[in-house]
Amino acid sequence: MGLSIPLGDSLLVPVVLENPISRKRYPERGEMIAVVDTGYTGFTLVPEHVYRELGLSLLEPHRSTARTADGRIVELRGSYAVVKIPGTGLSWEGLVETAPSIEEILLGTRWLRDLYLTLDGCTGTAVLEGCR
Amino acid sequence: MKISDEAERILRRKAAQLYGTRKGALSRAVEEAILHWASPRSPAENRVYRAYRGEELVAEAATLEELAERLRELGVHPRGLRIVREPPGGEGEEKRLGFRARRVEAWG
Repeated sequence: MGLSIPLGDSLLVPVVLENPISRKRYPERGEMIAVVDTGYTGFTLVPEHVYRELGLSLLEPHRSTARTADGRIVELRGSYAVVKIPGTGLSWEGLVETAPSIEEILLGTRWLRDLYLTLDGCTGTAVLEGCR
Repeated sequence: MKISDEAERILRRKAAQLYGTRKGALSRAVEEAILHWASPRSPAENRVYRAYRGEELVAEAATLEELAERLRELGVHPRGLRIVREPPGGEGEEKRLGFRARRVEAWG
């Protein structure tokens, strides 16, 4: 089952994040809105408090560098977790990363590799579907 | 074989888009669809997750959920575990951050 969402200035996707290793979910109830951000080349980037609440800070992080839009180099810390779209059966496992002062949940171009995304400007909708 | 009207409508439309209205177009589309469905299309299908404590391999599984289950069976606490995926999911790669992450800072 896929998800049809309205196309606005940003592509906003309702998500739930889960860390099966620590049995944590964010948010604990309901869902969060994530932004599809093709400027970010990773899987999912989250604020630090979300990373902590998922229990990902218990795990030894993968460290990698990222170049910002203004040319700075910053360190990202990440661990594997699950991104789900509630009510659709759509679910992806990937590296969820964080860094100080990240304010939104961003779904990057690596997340886009594992799905079909159809943008239909004529009807003003985007449709997300799994790979099969 | 019996399929729903909706599935047939989608199939006929896709077959016409891909192969036109010539004879055999529908059969070719069905064959393509079956091969596509039955082949390892999803990148998730060939993955392995491994949990390490230091250099010691503690457990491995095909999905994160299965790895978590395996760790629980073994009574392993997650603190300090390093979870690695093959093929890797971008760890160690230099990434780009766009305008939305413009306020990002270095770790204190």
